[in-house]
Amino acid sequence: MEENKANQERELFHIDKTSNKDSLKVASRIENRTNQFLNNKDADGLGNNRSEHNEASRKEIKNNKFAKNRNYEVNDESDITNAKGIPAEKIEHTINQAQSLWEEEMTIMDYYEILKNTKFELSDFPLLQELINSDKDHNILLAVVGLRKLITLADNPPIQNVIDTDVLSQLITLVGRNDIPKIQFETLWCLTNIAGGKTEHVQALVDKGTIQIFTNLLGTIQKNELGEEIFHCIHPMDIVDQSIWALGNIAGEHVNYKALILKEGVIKPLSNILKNVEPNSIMAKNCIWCISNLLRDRPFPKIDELLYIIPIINEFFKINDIEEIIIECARAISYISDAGEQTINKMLKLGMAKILSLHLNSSNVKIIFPLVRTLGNFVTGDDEETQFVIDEGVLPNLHTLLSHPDKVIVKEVCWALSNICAGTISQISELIELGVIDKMIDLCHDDDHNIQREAGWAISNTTTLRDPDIVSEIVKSKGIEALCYLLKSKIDICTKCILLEGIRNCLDVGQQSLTNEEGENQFALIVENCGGLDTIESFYTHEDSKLYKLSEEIIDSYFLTEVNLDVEEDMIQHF
Amino acid sequence: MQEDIGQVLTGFVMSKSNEEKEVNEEKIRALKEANPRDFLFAMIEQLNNETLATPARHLTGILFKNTAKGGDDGPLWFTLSDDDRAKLKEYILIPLADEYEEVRRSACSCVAAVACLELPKQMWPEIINNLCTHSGSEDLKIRQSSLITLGYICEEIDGEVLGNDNTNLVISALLESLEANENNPALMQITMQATYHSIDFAENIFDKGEGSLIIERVVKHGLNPDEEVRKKTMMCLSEIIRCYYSSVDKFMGPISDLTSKIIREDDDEEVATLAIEVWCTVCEGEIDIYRRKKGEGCRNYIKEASVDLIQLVLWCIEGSYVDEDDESDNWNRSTASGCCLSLMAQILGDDIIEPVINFAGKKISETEEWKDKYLGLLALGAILEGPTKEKLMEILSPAMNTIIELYKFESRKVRETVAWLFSKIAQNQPEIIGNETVFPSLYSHILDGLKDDTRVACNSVSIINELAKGLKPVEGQIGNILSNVYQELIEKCTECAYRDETENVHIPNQQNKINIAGFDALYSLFENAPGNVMPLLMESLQIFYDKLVATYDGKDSIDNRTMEFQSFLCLCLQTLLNRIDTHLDTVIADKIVEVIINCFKSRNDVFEEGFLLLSALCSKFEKHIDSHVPEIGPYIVHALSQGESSETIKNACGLISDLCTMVESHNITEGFENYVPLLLNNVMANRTLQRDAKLSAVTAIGDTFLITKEKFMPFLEETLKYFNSAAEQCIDVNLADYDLVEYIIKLQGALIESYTCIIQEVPEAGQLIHQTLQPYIPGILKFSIICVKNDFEPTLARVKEVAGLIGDLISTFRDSADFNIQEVREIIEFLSNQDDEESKQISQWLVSL
Repeated sequence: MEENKANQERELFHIDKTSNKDSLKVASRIENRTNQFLNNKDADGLGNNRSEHNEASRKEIKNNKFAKNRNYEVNDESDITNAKGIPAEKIEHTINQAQSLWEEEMTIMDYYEILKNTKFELSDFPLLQELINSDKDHNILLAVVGLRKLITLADNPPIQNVIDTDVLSQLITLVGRNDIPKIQFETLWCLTNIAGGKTEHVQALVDKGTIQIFTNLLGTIQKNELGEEIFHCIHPMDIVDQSIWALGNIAGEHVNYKALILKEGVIKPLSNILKNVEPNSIMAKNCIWCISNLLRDRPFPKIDELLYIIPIINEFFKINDIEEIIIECARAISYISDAGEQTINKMLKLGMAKILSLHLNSSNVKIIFPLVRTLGNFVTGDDEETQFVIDEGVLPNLHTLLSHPDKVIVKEVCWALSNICAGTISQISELIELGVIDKMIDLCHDDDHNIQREAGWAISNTTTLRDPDIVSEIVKSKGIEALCYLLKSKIDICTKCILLEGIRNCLDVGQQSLTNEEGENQFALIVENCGGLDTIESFYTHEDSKLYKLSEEIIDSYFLTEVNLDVEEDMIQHF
Repeated sequence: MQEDIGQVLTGFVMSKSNEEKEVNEEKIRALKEANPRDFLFAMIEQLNNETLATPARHLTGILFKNTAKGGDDGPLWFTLSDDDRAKLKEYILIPLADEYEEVRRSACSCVAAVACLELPKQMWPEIINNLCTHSGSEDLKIRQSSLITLGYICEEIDGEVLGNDNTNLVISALLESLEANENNPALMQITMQATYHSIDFAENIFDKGEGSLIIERVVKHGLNPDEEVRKKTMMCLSEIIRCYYSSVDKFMGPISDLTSKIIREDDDEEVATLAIEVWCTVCEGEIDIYRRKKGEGCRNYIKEASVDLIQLVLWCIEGSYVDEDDESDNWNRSTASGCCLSLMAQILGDDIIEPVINFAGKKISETEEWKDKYLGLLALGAILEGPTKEKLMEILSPAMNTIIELYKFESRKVRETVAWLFSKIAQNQPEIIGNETVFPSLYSHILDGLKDDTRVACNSVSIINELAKGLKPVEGQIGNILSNVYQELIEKCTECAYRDETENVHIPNQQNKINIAGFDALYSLFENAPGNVMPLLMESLQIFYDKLVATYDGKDSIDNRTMEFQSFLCLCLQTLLNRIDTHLDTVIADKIVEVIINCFKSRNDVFEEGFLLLSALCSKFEKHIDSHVPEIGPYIVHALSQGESSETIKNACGLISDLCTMVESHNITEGFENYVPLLLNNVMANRTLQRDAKLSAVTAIGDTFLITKEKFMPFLEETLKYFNSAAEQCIDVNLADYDLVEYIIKLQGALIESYTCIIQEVPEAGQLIHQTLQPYIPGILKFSIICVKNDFEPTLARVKEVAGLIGDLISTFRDSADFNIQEVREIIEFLSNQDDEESKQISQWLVSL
């Protein structure tokens, strides 16, 4: 029988080797681990390690060779073309060729192909300036392609020349050439790049009324006979895409331009484009980027526009998963949540709190940050809304983020949570149960002032209701010590007042319900023992009246007898 | 004919001699090849043939399965008609209820194999439901068969293929079986085994927070009277923790209680060890979380349980049975506990030191028993990775002399373990022993250790190896504490490398262990040699050259051991050539080429290390090697046409690349016709070869084009077709298959590089080459753009490579494709926004084109 077994492993009778999954399985992991622990080596590893060296050095040699052949120093252009053997078409040649071929009814597309391969240089600019005003379409096409090539040069593009010579006006006129889409497209491309230029370049564009032109190219919202708003767009996608790009550039330049664009009512057309765009496409990216630029900072779009875009962005967020898109989308969402009650209400009704919190475990800070900001905005509303957000299950994720390595995130989370800390007894209890409060008390000792500040506010907020159970929990977790510690640190006066209020709330609870057998306020003892009392006393001489009054009030209400007693005792001992 | 098959099968099973077997095997093969369809039907018929001997019936199942899964272009199974498949599926279910277990098991593997073929194509959806229903059958035979089959399927299939509904079915069936079969050990084993294999695709169940029931039912059987069931239970727990670390919170208490009870009380050594394994898995999970996510989401189970856990593991180490003369590295309770302790050390850092030191100190100093000393040293060696150097220094320094003295202890096991401990220290914190205070007194003991028993010697040589790798030069000096004794170290390691232990060691694959260890130490010594020992390396070059000559000189044939030494010695010379930074006389190159060729001749075959050494010569002597190409060429051809290992083929391809790029060999242009067809047809088109070799072949072809240019014309069309089909593999990649994605990314790199080689040379290669390439340009452009898709998370370097290739394409093939596309603009924009100078240059260069 044994012999048979051995034979069965021949080709015809082979028993399946273990599947891939097995490499992860217990037995093989044990073997690997044991070998590592015992320092076992096998012969197979010896050669493999040594061939890696060869591969790395081969790669390096090759890369150097490639770079040398490419000759990145592009200043001397003839050098490249000569080295490659096939020179690019010279511009004069192209013009002549066009002249002769045009008359032989060459199609515009064929001519466009030639143009794309033609090399343009800065010195051709006067020629292009002349041709753009020509009455022949092929000359105009040549001019716009040439200008586009020059304007997209990374190094010193002649944008100022375009403005100074007023070629710009002609370009703007040419945007209307939808009879020859390539002219329209190349022109828009020029304008997009001008919009990406310096402030004075963008100003020139705005002065010429281009915002309206770009906006019109996005399509329009019209009412049908039923009064429903219907979106119409007759322009090709590449034209729309370029317009979006241009608007995004302009909006990003200055908030005043942004306001002008919003006045044109672009949000609804853009929303419709966003709704229909193919997920994860470049157009999707451009579109959400443009929208996010438009939503950032005041002025906000009109409220009906915001309410219009919210469900669309919500859907968009769900179906796109490219990181760059998610980042822009998250930003846009957070800007919308900055706009106030009504938008927040709508977002909550769509269940966005839950959807957003699912992305909180992203590894990208750029995604997390706007989402936390948004959730923080969500919980600024009334207790009922806050409860709704909590019910969506955001707390565990926010709790985890309190340990995030990026301080900016932690600070933002603290801020968001501090709003919940100002909520109802049951909300605060939930935070305590999750360990959130413990963690925030720890964070009061963080070395980042911003985090300390937010954490301090949060802890202080929990005491506002003066609920004995909650305050006891806070005290048990050394909350008083944390507040007193913060009081001593370099922190603004407003925050110090908040901290003092928190301490006063704790002391009040201590006085009301938690005195010990000797009738002493135990919490007052804590304040005293951790050095808090000394700090509070030091505020006696503070110039800020609120701070001074608060500290006086605390000492008067909870410490005065004690202090006097101390003094008396002192006196007795001395005399 | 059916009679025939029955006879042949019986004949095969009953064969008395190998010859007889081969005759029958040949007959079976002939039948299979004559008509695979009929063969499958015949096999099933025989599997159901109750008059046939059981072993023969068992065999038919295996034949059925292998035939159905085999086939040159995808599984043969799918070449059958729908009707045939339906019939066969009906027939293979019948023997699941057969009287004999051997037959049933064979049928189970057939059903599972067919299910795994069809399920991914949504072709046999009802089978899972069927099996699940029958796993609760009253008939125990059917119940057993259903569970075994489910287990096989779970083992092989991917969770995604099964889909949520089927996964739920399988899991609930298994959970019910875990209850129902409680008192039937055989069925329980099978059920637990299947559960073990099903864990990793229960993802959606755990995600929904419904994993509790699974854990609950599994934990419940941890104390089952049958030890196989307990073993499988422990394996399930490890698997659950490995896959769903974040979902076990609620159960860590019960799991902890169960495993401690088993570790302390189970009679079965393996069950206890697998229970330790559960904790090792927790450790590994947490180490991984700290490494990859900076600890985010870590529940710190180890930290929380550390006090009890350390005591438990130490108790386990203390109580383990150790055989003083055991020569194997068998996995047992003491090594498993040691592993667990070492993992815990990586999590707990300095906190682990105190309890372990107390334990080790007591064990080592308070008794003279070999076992106590051994266990103390083992515990100590386990905690060297994790704690800080300062803390380790602080606690080890006072004990150092005591430990060094144990190097002389009478028990071999103790000496072996002392040497192991020092090798662990050298590996993790070399400065602790590589200093003026400790090293001088330790050194003579290491040298004695090298002459000691094999196992002591292996660990001693490993100390030298790790010190050579890890010790940095002393500040302000060229060398370190090893420099003064470098020559002696090389000599002693060479002695180890040559020690013949065939007489002393009785475990076959461990006889050369000391030789491997010796050579590995030599490589480290050479590779990390400080600048002040260069003359020594020159001397070594001569010495090891002579040794390589001696392997074949004056011998008619050479044995396996000598062949192995040829490989090791080639690596020595390779490492030396790479490290020696002074000028070498070309005579040396000529001599080494000659000796490699003689090695090839002596064994009538080529080997990978020979090619590696030739590559080292190429990079050291460059153009000088060209004169040797006519001699080397035939061996490259030999490797590509008959080379048996993928490594050999890969290194031969590497050598071609080196000859083309570093040597810029003129002679290659005379002889490349001999190897290019082999690269295409034997390597790139080879299904059985490891993938890595294919990458090297792609690169070798590009490099060959670099120097052959227009002469390459006869192979260009075919090359481009091969490249194109390779490029197509990069389109629809299953992104969940990490190994595949990793390979595809490498493949993209190789293709980009080779395409670049070709495109850049076109202007010099002439019109014909230009024309041949033209129709392929749009495809190459498309491929380049796919390479920078987000799916593959391209690095900046990769984007630059792609941008470079696109630029080269534009420069030479401006009219052959539309380069003015959004994707290309995206790349340009991306690069222009990078901070480094090169990216900006490339983007400007692209714009200028």
